[in-house]
Amino acid sequence: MSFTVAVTGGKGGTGKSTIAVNLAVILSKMNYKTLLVDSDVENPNDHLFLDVNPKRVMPIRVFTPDFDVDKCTSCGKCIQICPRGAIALGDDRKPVVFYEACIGCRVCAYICPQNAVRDMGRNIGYIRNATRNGLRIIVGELNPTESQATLAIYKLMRFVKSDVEREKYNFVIVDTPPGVDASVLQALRTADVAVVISEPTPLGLETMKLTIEMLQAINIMWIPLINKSNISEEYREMLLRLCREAGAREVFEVPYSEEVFKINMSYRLLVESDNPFRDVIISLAKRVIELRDACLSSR
Amino acid sequence: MVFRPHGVTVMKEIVVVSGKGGSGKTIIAASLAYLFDQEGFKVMAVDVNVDTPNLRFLLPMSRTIRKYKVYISRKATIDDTKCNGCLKCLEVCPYGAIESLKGTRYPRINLLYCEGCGACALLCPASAISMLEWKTGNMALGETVFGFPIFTAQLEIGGYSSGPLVHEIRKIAAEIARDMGIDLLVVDGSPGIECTVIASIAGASYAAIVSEPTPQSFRGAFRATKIAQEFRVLAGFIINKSMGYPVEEEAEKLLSVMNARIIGKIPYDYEVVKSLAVAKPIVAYNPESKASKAIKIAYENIKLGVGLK
Repeated sequence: MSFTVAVTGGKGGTGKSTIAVNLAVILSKMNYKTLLVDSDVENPNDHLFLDVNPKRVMPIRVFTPDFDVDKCTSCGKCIQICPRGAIALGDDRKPVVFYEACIGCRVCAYICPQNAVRDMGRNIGYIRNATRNGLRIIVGELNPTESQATLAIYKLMRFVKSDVEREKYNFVIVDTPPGVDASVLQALRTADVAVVISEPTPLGLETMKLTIEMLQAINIMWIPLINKSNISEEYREMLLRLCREAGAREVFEVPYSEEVFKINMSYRLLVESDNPFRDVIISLAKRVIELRDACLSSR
Repeated sequence: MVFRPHGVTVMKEIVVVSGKGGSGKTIIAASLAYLFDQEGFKVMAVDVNVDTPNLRFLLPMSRTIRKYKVYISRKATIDDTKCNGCLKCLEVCPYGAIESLKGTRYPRINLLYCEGCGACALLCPASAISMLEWKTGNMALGETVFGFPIFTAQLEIGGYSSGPLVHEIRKIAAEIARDMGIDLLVVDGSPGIECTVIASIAGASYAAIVSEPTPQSFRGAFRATKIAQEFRVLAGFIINKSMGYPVEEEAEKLLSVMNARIIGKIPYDYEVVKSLAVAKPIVAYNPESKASKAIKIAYENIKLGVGLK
């Protein structure tokens, strides 16, 4: 059975990708068969840390209406029903679609009394993959100016699910997008445990609250990690208190150091060089392995 | 329509966006709003980062003037007495939000994943599914401790249509601002390149695109630049936490190819981290710091860009 760890945290730039990548690398070094999924489709960059160039596996294709102007009687039903208001009547009194707003729900095709709506399909992005030293990475990428991140992540996670069933990984690490909206929920759908990353700033504290609230709503076990923990003692204390009150037993902490920033910037991996960050990631990996064993024995 | 600019002509709207989170959008937006206010412009700060609205932590509210609720989303509900168990709804749901309980033919809608498209309600042969209006988020108008107004919004957890919500917030903020006689909106946008960013940028007078000097961040910022160019919004590029690494030079070359202007280079400065911890914009916390001075240069460039004197 594979065990899915999602790396999340409401605020951007707190270190989700850094931690997800390094956790995946260390688990794979410990001889666990590991898959890293980058579900931050708007701005996927896990592969940049690993310095690999993932190849396209398949496009993310969604339904897009195409109107047969000969059959269309301009009844306007599709315009009324479209949940995103993505259809309007053109100059020739035939419907036109604004693709940026279309969510591919097919409602227009279902309602059309003339059966004039066909699927012309469109690619909103690509699923890519690569392998580096036995660690497989699957990346979802949304095309610029496309807006359907949630749909793209849903399709990506379905692809991942079939891959996991086939390959039987020990661990699946999912790097989620920032925020607490529907796209994050889709990325968290298969997660067994979530690593919640925050930083000791007023902004980090507030987003931590939101993230915990979200994880409690969907009933997923979580491990808090405070990144850049030494930048403010006051907010670190507040974060620790928040985590404890919400029921966390153990809080991981990574101190801020310029070295980490430099290593990251030069495309090197933190776990592959000697620095304080490495030890924290190793203890986090051990905790995750413990949880997996506990989960497997209870199944 | 979702992405239509809302026709603000007289009022200027400056949007701060970035491709990647944590690049410094909120810090820069807060600083810009503060600087404009100091110079006597009638400014309103608007936070459209609906997932995690943070601007109010750097521009704390001294009082809340008004609260609003937004209802622009819908969710499906099933009437079990009418359901005939055909499970057609499972097939049509584009988001996989409908599941049937194991071993039964009774569908259950997982409200967390339902995006309210209404395909199931339309196709249910027994007409057992109906759509309910659902709260999308909260909005609040307040006054900052510095005296100028702030407008902020918060999405419900797992809420959808951030894009339309961003559009709605900008529309309402612009209406309120017009009533209050505001000249200028400073908008703290959302990270990423998704519809929220498009909805933040479209129709604005100026987009300040913030990036850190990392390959990850530049990549997102280039995408944001493309969006701005596509929507014909004047854009300026700000490099935050600049440390003079080779990657910056590469980025500058790429930017000049893309016809994008660099309007500011803010050096890495620990004073900024300190200002965050006391919840003040850096230009108010330490106006003499390296970062503050660099932000002021970017500010002057933006002022020129939108034609303010």
